[in-house]
Amino acid sequence: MSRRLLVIGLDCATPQFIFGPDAFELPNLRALMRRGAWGTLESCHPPITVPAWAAMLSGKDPGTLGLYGFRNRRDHSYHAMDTADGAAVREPRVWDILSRQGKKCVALGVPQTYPVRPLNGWLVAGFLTPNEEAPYTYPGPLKDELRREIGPYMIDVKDFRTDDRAALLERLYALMENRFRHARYLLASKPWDFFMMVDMAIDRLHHAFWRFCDPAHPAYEPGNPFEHVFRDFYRAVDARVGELIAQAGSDTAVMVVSDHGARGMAGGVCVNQWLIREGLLTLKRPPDGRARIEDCPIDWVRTKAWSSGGYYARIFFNVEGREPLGQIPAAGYEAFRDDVAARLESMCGPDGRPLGNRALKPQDLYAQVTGIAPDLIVYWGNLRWRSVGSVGYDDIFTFENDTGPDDANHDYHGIFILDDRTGAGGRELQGLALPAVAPTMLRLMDVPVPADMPGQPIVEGQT
Amino acid sequence: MNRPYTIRLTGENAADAAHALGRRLVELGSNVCPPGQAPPAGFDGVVLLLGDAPSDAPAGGTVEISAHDTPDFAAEKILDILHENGVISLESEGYTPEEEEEIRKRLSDLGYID
Repeated sequence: MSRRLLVIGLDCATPQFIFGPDAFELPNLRALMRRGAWGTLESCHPPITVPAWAAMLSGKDPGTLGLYGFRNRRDHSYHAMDTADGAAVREPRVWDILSRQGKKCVALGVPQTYPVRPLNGWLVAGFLTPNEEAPYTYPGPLKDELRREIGPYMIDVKDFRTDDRAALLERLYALMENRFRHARYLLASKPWDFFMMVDMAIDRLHHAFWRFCDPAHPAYEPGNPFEHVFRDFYRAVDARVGELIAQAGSDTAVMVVSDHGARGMAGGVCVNQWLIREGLLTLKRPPDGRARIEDCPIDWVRTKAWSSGGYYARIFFNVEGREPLGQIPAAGYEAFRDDVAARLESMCGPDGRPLGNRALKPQDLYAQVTGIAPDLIVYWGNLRWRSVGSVGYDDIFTFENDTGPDDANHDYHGIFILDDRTGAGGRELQGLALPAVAPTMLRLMDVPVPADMPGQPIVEGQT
Repeated sequence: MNRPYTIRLTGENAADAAHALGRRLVELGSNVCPPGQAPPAGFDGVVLLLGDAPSDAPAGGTVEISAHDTPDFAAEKILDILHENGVISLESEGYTPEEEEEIRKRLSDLGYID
């Protein structure tokens, strides 16, 4: 058992680029795999940054956390939504538990850590920090220390939606280098037992460059100037990972994880447009061009469902006695939900063939359903299509993106690599899932796993 | 609070923790009387004492500072006690409306919401 654990989080790092026969040449991650154990890591529902990192680090599923995406309904009114910031994570995360056990912790760039909360150590908040002026460190003076010693902290990539891919690529490298530079400084300057960082750059890379790198993508052009950016970027990340591992020392256990994977995106399904066509959503007047659904005048007495978009759809029902102008009788709720789910799952794509949608009920996914959950969570084309919440489209399907180019959607599996320094490694693990990660971290730190964490730690014999 | 609330910190790192606690209390808008100073007349804030004094049992009790805690985290644990006892209020500072809009736009640009 190790007394120190270094966790390197690579948001959206994708199994096929790291484990499979077509994996890139990544000597440092390969060395970790040879010494330790690895496997694809099943994400949560939905497989999105929020709630996935919080689910991983609390050991609780999104329903128990009451986090169904980045924006969640505050109540059963029609418009009140809250951003799922750090305060929305009410279950203790690994560093909260370790802090109470006297372990010194560092957390850098982990999503949903702003506003910062105290820990026994040092924290730099993640990309939900509003701006550089915000108090994004704990303790507060750490911010000035980092600026003095390293320079400005890059919260996220700027101007992500652009057609100037070369400039974007430069900014993504800068983001990644900046995050690892902060990590190296904190690793060297703070006395830590548990160190965790998350880099977001690979996620942004996938969304911006998938069409250039994946021959299976409809927009792929052989010989394009960005054809090898995935390989080159992963190798650059691998080099930085290697530096951190070396700096941490050979007696430190190392875990590399991602919250979800990625896959090519075929297009978008205009979910609210579909609800309108199905007679489930009525606007008082058609929008003047494209419009966000929350900016449209919805005729609530003629509306049974509406949806938020993103990489998946969250469909909300207008239920009598629950929503202010509810139209679905409470007694008919389940029958209505089954009917809408069946309609969604039988939807055909533009080519007339079944799209392969999945329409899931939160009650079937989670141990508990807290907060205001969507009535249905929908993955279009099994996540091959994104969900367009805006209205004003002529068709249900779109191959445009109003906010700018985006070529990738999220996928169900991320990565897990662990070298626990017992020397008993070199094996692939099967059936890994997000709930196992937090108990494994606690076990490695010799701290008891709370009884309400349902996941089982990956025991020594497995690694 | 209309009279001083006195709390004693003991342990190897008590002085550092008292310093961190004093700074945090000031940030939270509370009056603090640091260790070694006498509170002025009419003082209604938090009085910090250091070290063992078995005959003196302050109203806020005595807190042993763990050698494993950073001074800042030790201070936060005491703030939790003060909050639970109604001495201070620890409200989480969320986004301002402007920040909320900034974040909403960023999430939209990144494709997370639509």
